[in-house]
Amino acid sequence: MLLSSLSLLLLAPIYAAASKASRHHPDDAFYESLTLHPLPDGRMSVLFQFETEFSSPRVLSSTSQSHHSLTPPSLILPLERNNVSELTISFTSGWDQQRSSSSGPLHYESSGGGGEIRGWLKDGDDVEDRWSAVTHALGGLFCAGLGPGDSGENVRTFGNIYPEKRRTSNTTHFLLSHPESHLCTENLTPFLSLLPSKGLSGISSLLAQPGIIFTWASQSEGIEVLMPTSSNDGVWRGWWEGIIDLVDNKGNRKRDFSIEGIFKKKIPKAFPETQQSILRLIKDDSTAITVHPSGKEKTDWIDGKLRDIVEWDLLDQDLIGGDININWDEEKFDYPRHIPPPPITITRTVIDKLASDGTFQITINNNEDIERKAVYSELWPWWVKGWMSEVELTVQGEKRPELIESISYNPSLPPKISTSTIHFNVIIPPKSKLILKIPFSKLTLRYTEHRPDAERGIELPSGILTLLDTIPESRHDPELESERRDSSVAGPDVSRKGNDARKTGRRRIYTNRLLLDVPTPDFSMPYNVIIMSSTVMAVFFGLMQGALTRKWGWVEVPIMKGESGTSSLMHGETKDNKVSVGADTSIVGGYEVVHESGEKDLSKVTIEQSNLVNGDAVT
Amino acid sequence: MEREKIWKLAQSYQGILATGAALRLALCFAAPSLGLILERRPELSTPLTSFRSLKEGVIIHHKGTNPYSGGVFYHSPLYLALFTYIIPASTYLFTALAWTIADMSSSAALVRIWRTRNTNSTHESDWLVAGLYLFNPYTILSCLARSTTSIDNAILLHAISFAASGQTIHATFFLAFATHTSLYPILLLPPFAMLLMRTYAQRVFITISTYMMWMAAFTGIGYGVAGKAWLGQTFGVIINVTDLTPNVGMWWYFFTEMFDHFRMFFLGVFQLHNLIYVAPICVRLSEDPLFAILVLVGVFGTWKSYPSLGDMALWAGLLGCFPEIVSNLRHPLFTLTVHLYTSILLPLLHSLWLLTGTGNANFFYAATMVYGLNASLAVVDVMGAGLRLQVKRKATKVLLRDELEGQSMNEDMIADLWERKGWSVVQFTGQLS
Repeated sequence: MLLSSLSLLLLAPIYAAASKASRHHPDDAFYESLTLHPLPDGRMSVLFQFETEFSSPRVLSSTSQSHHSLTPPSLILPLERNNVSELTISFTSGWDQQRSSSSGPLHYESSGGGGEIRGWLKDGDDVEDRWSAVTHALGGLFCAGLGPGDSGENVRTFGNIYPEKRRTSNTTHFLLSHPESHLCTENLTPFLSLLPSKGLSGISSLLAQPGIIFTWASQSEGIEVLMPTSSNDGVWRGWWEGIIDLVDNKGNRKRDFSIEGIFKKKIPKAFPETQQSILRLIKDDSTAITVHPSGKEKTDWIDGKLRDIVEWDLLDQDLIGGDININWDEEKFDYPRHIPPPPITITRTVIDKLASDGTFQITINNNEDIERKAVYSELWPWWVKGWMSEVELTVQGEKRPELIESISYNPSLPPKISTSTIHFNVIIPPKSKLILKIPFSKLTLRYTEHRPDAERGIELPSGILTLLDTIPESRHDPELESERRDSSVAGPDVSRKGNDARKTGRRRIYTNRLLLDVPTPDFSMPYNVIIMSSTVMAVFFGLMQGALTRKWGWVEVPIMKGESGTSSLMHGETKDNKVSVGADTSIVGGYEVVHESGEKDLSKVTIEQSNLVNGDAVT
Repeated sequence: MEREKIWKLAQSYQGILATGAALRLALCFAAPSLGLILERRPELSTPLTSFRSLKEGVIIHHKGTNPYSGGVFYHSPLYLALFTYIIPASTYLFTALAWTIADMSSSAALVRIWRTRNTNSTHESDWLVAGLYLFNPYTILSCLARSTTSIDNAILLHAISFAASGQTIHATFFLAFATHTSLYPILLLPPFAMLLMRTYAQRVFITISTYMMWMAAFTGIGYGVAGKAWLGQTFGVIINVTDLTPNVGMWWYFFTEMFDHFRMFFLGVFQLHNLIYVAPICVRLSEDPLFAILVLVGVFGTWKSYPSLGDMALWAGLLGCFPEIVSNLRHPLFTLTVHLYTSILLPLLHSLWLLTGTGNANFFYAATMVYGLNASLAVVDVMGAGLRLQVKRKATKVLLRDELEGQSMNEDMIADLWERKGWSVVQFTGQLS
């Protein structure tokens, strides 16, 4: 400390000269935090959050400064260039059923399964192209294809579901879902390289351990960028979340853990430019938790509950190099008989046993005593054709069509690659189980439209339940608090205790992804089908052409005893007879077939043109 | 005594009509679930004729959205208007009645066609013509499935019957209507003109111009109901075959398996394949334009882009008006048994592939191949029978004038004479000049 202030003194003139070039913009700031949230089922959510504030994009345009900026130019420049005002990218792999008593990942911006990129772009004629450009550019950054395979995959009807953080006019919302994407080791390195601390110091150095991070059960990562406007600084946030087992299956029945135990590292030295570096523990348990060394205790609204929180400031020199121990006041951990469910849960399955048709069954459970208003949204590829006339909503086995206030349906336009979107405005009655059934058919995909592993099936993006009546989690904000108390939305019965399902930042609850198997053609058949179908066509054409163009006539076949004339002719058994043949209509005339006596072979029948028997008469 | 009376009643046209209607309504109301199952059978309804799609489109239209803006609805806007404003598609009673009435009126049209062909005979065979259509299992199933094919058939049959009786305005009205709902009837315009020309030689121009007028009127209604988008979603789909949902036709699997860069070429080939028969058939069968219509209906009933069993029902019903052709068929038994065979094969192999998911697409494709080949051979057989009959008539007229003993020619008599003489009609294979 002393040394640095001394050097500042000594080198003041040099600093002054070079300040513009070497220091980042004075407004730039970096915050990081690590949140630990033990869950009732013996697991724990771990959430890394990094936030950088940056000022006007003009600073970035100068190369000399961008080298020393806290913001990564590789991320900001494509956004700036393509006139993006807000952008969110998120990758999630399998959080479902992993976070009991919660209806989604700890970070609210995490999407449903797979990859997702969404954002607001300033309007213009080329907005589609700019969106395409920015998604492709960032795909490279995340080692994953983020761009649309076809412009039809872009979804524009989700603007109300993902409203702008900063209200700016003349912007268009875009959403692209990649349910088939996975979060894997390849995504960690690019993520770390975006951070100013690069995974070398501070909390990010705990994250920069793929060997540890990727043993965790489920992962979710994402970035969110709000580009600077005339009145606001830009912000970009990154998060990485995982779920770990505190109780292992090696006989350790205690949940107690320490930072070193989880990350195999002591509390790291802070990143020099960090304004704030916080370790947060959410004590959300009936069992008492003791921490050592002790941190700052407080309570906050988190996801509909007033929860006890302990915070440690990791800039504190006393903590660096040390460890933090968290202990439960219990002999051993017993898996609870009942885990309190989150206020709202949602699952989606496909019922029906048919391979070509199916029914989405969406089950929404409201576990609270309050009526909720929400929008349920689905996103389908073009080959899923929903039957809106057969949508059915039941509560406790009873049909309740009035609970669907409105449906907004944007069907895809097959065979163009396009996306169907559908939004149901629903009312979820208190303490109820709502079942929404949407029958659908799978349209036949062309041979070339199938994926290489067609038999595996195709993932459908998660369904999204957007709650319309949430109230912000007012953290230390008396103004908001009083506002909430005044508002008529929050009833008096729910505001009294530390439990208000509506008081959450989680506006969106995602269903699981779905893997739908699609009826496939036989991929080895193209040539065979072309050949066989064409043969049938040729047979028909040939016969028709023959019937229409060939000449018709008649034959006289003497009637044999016990045998029909034709059969005797067919078998060549006419021993010594003449078979007379007539030709007709527009045809030339008559012929006489002389069958050589005794000859059985029909091929030797000679046809002699003879005098016209009836030709003139016919025509 | 009573039994005799009932039998007599059953043999009357009214009796058949009543029985047919009663059977349909009974099946509709006694087993509504049967209708629901049949509604989804790909053999009976294609995406263009399915009642499920129609209902969906009507509901979307009702909500104020244009059903043609998405790939949901391929029905004609005329149907959209009809089932939105006149017959509510969501009411089971009305639709059941509408489809029953459609079949009844089809049979009435068939009887009218039959009467124009047999001016000399009494009306005693009317019941048979009507019965053949009304009790054809394909007709009954299409009606229960409430496939719009049944209505298309009724419209087309009315067009043919009016053409047969020489009423230009009516005939072109229904032909334009049929063209609007299923496009392929446009191929019947030349034989229609020929048919109408028989009563008045200058009719060709009138026929074509009134047809154009009606087409314009229907198109205008279409624009009024659904703007511009319907063109691509009705005619466009029929021509470009963008929906590849399996049906009994030869197209869906072919274009599922087609390489993208050949798709356009083969689309052209398949569509032209329907078109090329029009001129030669009209020229060759110019003496009997109604027979030309029969053959053409058979051709596009088999080879159109979205055929269903209802199209076969139409053709079979029309064939009932040509008993002399039926008696000259080469292999009617073969055709019938293969139809029976495919009616087992199609649902079986379809369920193996798309319902239980145990088979693959080739199963159903094989069944549609058998169906398509059989239907093609049947058309050729009918065509051959017609030409054989032509030869017989001409030859009899010229050569056996004496043996007719001054009586007017009669199909039974001709057949009898030829039988006695041991004559039979053949098609030459060699080039005769």
